[in-house]
Amino acid sequence: MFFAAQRFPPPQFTETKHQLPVMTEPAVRSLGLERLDIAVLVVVLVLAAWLALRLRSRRGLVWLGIFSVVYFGFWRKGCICSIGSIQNIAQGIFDSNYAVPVTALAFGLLPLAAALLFGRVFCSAVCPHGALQDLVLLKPVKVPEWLEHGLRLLAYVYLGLAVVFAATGGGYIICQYDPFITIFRLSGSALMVSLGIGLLVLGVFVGRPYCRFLCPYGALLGMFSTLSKWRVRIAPENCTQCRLCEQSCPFNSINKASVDAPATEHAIATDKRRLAIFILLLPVLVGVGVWFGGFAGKNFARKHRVVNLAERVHLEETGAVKDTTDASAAFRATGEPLEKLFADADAVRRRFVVAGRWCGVWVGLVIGLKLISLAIRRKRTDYEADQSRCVACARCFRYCPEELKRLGLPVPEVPPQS
Amino acid sequence: MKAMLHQVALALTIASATFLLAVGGLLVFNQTRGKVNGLVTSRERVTLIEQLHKRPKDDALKQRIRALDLQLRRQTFTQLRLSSNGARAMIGALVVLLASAHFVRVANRATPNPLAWGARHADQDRRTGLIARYAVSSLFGVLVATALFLGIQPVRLPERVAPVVEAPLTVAEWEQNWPAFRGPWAAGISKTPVKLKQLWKVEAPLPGMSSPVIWSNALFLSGADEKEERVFRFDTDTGKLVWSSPVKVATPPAGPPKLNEDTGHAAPTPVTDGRRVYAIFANGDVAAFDFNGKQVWARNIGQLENAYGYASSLTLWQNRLLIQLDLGQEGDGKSKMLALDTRTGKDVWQTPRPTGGSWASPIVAMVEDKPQLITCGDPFILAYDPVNGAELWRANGLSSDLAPSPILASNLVIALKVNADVIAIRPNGKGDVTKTHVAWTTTDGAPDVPSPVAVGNRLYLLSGGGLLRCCDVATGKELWAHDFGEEFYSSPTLVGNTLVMISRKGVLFATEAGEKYKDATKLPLGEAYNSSPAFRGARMYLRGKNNLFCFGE
Repeated sequence: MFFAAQRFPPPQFTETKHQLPVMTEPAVRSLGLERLDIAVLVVVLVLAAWLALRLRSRRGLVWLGIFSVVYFGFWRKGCICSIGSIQNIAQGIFDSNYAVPVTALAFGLLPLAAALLFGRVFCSAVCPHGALQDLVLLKPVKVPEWLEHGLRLLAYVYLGLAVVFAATGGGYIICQYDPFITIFRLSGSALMVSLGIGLLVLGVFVGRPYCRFLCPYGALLGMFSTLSKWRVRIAPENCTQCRLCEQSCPFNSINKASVDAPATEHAIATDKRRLAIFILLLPVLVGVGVWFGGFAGKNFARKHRVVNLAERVHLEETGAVKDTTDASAAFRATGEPLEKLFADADAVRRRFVVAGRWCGVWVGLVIGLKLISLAIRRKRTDYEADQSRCVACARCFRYCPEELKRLGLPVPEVPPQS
Repeated sequence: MKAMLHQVALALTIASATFLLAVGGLLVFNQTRGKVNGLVTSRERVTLIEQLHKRPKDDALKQRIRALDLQLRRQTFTQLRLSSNGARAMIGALVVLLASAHFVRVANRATPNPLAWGARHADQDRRTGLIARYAVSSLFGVLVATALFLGIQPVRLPERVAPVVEAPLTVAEWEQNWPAFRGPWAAGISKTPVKLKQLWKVEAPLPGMSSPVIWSNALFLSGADEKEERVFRFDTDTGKLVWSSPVKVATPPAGPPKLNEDTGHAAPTPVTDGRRVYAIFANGDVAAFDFNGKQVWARNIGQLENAYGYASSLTLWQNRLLIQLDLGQEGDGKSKMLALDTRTGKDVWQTPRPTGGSWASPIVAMVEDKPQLITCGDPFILAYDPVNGAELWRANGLSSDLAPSPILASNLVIALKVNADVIAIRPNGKGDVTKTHVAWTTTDGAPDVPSPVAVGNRLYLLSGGGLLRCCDVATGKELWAHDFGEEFYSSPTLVGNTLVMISRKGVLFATEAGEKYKDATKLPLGEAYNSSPAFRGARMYLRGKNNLFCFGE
């Protein structure tokens, strides 16, 4: 309660007998509506899978995306969303006093289950964040592939941080820094509104910037979809390597067929040596991550309200600041001993250091495995959707002459293979 | 037809984009304007409110603030409405923009031509892989640098030390001792009778009008003159001076306080919680000493501007040292209640008081199992929550030159309007209870310095001129009166069933606290006397002008 404050200062003249309105809290969404949300999620997930994998309909996915933006975004005000539900689940695992709401659990697990079966169909047209960005993509610009490899790792780092903060009670950073929630709610801080609009404007040219480079849930879905039973295929049957689809994906999610080139023995030896170095480097990166994660954890703790309050009170006690904040004044008025506050804050800080180390392990692993993956030479015969990256938007289908033939549409003249 | 549709879509795209930019710009302007002069951020409003704290009775200023407040509220809520409507309009325009732009885009889409992209080479993939590895490594470097940057600015908390376990003060131990002016609840009652046999007498090292306080076998006394301020601990059994510690304040006041000789530099009685003893002096120095005489903290709380010199005694509740600072004149905004942390001396809370200078002491009393800090000032009797300083109730009716402290008797707060009214208030009200909770008022004259004492249904009032009156607590009706013919500053105390009163000349009067006056036993101390006695068990401790006495067995 030290942290509650009036949004607007109440009138200060008591003699006017102004009756302050009773403080209210937003009404809790009814159980019936919550169940409806879960049912809608299931239906839309199944529909998205059917449209992407079976019907292969881009138009259907666009309309489904519009529905999701309206229903999950504007009507449900974007909450609870699957992206944020990671935090509920993380807190539920690490905090024995917290029970994860069924809706959060459903929104967190159902899309992951869908990804195991059908790939990232959730991203295609169910997630309002993804659908909104998909709709604003008007003039796609290709992000260089090397940059794509690097930037996509940010989402994994964000995932690690989100789990750290949720598990330690430091807050739900995904929700606090959700760029699109302000758009769905038509209100928010100037910073977050600017961030949301900025990402949408960027999304006009760079396809789904949040989904690709920041979304922690997208990172999870990507990992799950590599194991998917059914997956999006660019060509309905056989790929003719016509290259027509090569530039069709605005998200750099098409793995091109390998260019045949004889590898020299020297090149093969170099590749093997590089791979060995990166494998040996993995524990080093993890070790570095542990150290620096724990180091940064001392700062992360500041996000926790108890630590934040304790630090402020300590500054006041040492005379580093002269005034008090609402929170510190409210704390002092309770008469709670300072020692207890500092002891509590210290315990939280130590928890953050430990969590920071685990986050460092995660980051080290992600970077190390990515380097190993980049050092492995793969041979592909067909143009195919990347299982981890592909968001099943169905843009590439109509570029494939085999698909046009399947639909009985005129096929443009196919240029010879390069 | 298709060309026309294309043209319409293009026009719609341009129009909706222009609309979006225009509304967006307007909203940014609206937001910026709100930031500069909003309800929460208006500098003018803050400045005016600060001025009002200094001039709380300036009605013109109040009107100005009201007008500004209303204007800012209207402005703020208009801006909020504008933002909300603007955002909705932008969403509408965005829908039109996206629909029309997609139409234009689809119409303009050309068949891809791989020939134009050129042939693919194995080197390209190899080079992409190489640069990607650099990119990933660079990202790791950036992350490490960020972690380093964050880690060198860690959370700043005090060094971890073994927590000092200090048991919270309990009501039982508070009541077992005589920790404050007139005893644990400032009621002036000691249940054990005392024999008037002198056990010891020792010299008080420094002058002071303050009374002794006792915790276990430790008796504390404060004393001061123009040169020094000290706190003393005596052994209650032998009268031996255990320690004498000077008050050392980091920033001493500029000069000596203006005060009346009758008041002196050490009129307020110290208070102890069994962990430390706390004392305040006329120049605003407040200090805490542990039971070994080591100064734990000391600070000066500012000039105590008071016509006769500062005299209100200290009291405490849990870990809050409570100081009634009635200073200056009524309405000049100088008075306040101040609560300090007993362990550190830091402010816990302070609440402005609408009172002028007074000399009464605050009391903490339990009302319906909740503590109330009850104070008397000119012109209000005010009760606060001692935990956070929130005002609980107030009643109008007192006047200036106020010295007697209130008491709680038979669930009534008894307050004295000097030389005029005795007022009894039911302390279970809220806000201004002047018209609703005053149980009775008598106008037969109230004491000017000594505080009252009550037992059962009898209230005893001893005036400075020596008139002792016994009244009915429930009605205020006088039952009997007796004039001792001497002057009194010391408050009467009920010891067992005996009323003990000590005149300024140093004559102790002891009479039965009964339905009728009975002749009092007299005992001359041999020196002037102004403080109030302290008790523990069957012993009584008196501070005369020069000596400390112990009576009992």
